Amino acid sequence: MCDVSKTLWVHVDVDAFFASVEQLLIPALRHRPVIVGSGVIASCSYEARRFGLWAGMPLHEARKLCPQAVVLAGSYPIYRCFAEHVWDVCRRFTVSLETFLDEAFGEATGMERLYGRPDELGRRLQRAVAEEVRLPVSVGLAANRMLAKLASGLAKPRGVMWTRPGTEADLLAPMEIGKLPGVGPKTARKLRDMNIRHIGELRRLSRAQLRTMFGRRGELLYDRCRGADTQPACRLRTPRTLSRETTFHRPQTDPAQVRGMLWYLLERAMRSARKLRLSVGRVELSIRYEDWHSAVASRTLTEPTESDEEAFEAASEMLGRLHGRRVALRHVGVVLSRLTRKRPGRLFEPPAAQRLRKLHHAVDAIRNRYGHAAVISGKSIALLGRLERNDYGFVLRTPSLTK
Amino acid sequence: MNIERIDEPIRVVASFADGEVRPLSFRWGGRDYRVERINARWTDRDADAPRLHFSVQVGEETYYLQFNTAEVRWRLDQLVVA
Repeated sequence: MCDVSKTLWVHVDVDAFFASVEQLLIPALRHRPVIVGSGVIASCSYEARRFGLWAGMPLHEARKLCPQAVVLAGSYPIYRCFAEHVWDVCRRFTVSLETFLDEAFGEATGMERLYGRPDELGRRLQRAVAEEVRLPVSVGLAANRMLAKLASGLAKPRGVMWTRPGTEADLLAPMEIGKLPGVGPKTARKLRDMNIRHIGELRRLSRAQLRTMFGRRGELLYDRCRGADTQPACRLRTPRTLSRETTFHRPQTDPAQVRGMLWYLLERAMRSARKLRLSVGRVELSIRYEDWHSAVASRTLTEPTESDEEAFEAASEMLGRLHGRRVALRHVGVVLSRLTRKRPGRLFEPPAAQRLRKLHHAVDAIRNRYGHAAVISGKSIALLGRLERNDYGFVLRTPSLTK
Repeated sequence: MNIERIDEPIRVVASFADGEVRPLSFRWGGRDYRVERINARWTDRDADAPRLHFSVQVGEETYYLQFNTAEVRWRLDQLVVA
């Protein structure tokens, strides 16, 4: 009989998500190397990975390594639907679920009473997804989120791994130092210079030493290398941020195109915020030039807003400030943060603001029914005729999903 | 592989039994196509009323069909020729 009093976390990761969906939709792609992405690989099938391809690799390099690969731009609205279906299945096996695009964390404490030992729970979850959605997932189970994620990574592809209580240290010790959450390339380099190559070796350093080297993050690393998760086991009800970004089909110099795209991304993100009944307190803008130089700026709004226009005013002002070089832009993105459930005060709302609010809600209702492309705002009209459209809006080169 | 976006209304013969929708055949461009296999189905719940999507196989060709449950209308979204 297993001990059901212990906390149990599940991490579910869809294997080669976008490529797996494409192989499911188009039988001719099964057992063939498939790449989804444009510019860089967003996802590639395991058949493609055998040729040394990996997500993030530039497409021109991928084509050299695997000329027979089928390259698809991808359809992100379809992937979102499949992800939701997978998460619906996962919810049956968990008491709470925090979802991302291709992975989810779930708390499953006590669910062993229904599904047996944690590894059996994982296998049943995996089988249910395979039968109902027909997508492969890897499942990691452990006493905390960090270990569950590391376990699903080790189980890939199509695997289930349960880290039994008491074996956490053994699991972590031989892993390469860069695998530890919180250790980025720079930190990993610094640690390797100190001859710390594996997570187990990091335990030689005291809490004080790590704090001296990396500040507050050092303390987190001290706990994490011992298998203790520092992330609160919260159940996210309000997202921390909503973001939209894209790469232009070709580097862009036309200010109307850049502003049109900025408005389009922003109104999509704001629509998502309104759908979640959230007001936005901060807007962040990021741009990347053709030569890969990038710049970021953010602005806190005087009051949280639901209005596209107020958010755009802030973003537009930042764009004017940031885009100072005479170099084409390849990428633009917005992040909305400080999201609150608090609605802006309505008692003394000026009539113009009231009219705008009603307009947004009317346009949202039309778009909810007929798709985002049913209404094109004048501010993004410069994109009309330049970009293809479907029900979901303009077909972007690297469409991103709000999460 | 050739992927062609069609986005046209079509007439579909479908089965609505046991709480499940199954397209059986469709008429497009004056020709009838018999669905040999449903490769996958997915539901878009982002709109007011769910939209049911199907990837169906007709010979070597894969067709993406869409059923708008609010308007009770079918569309042919896409054709993939391997």
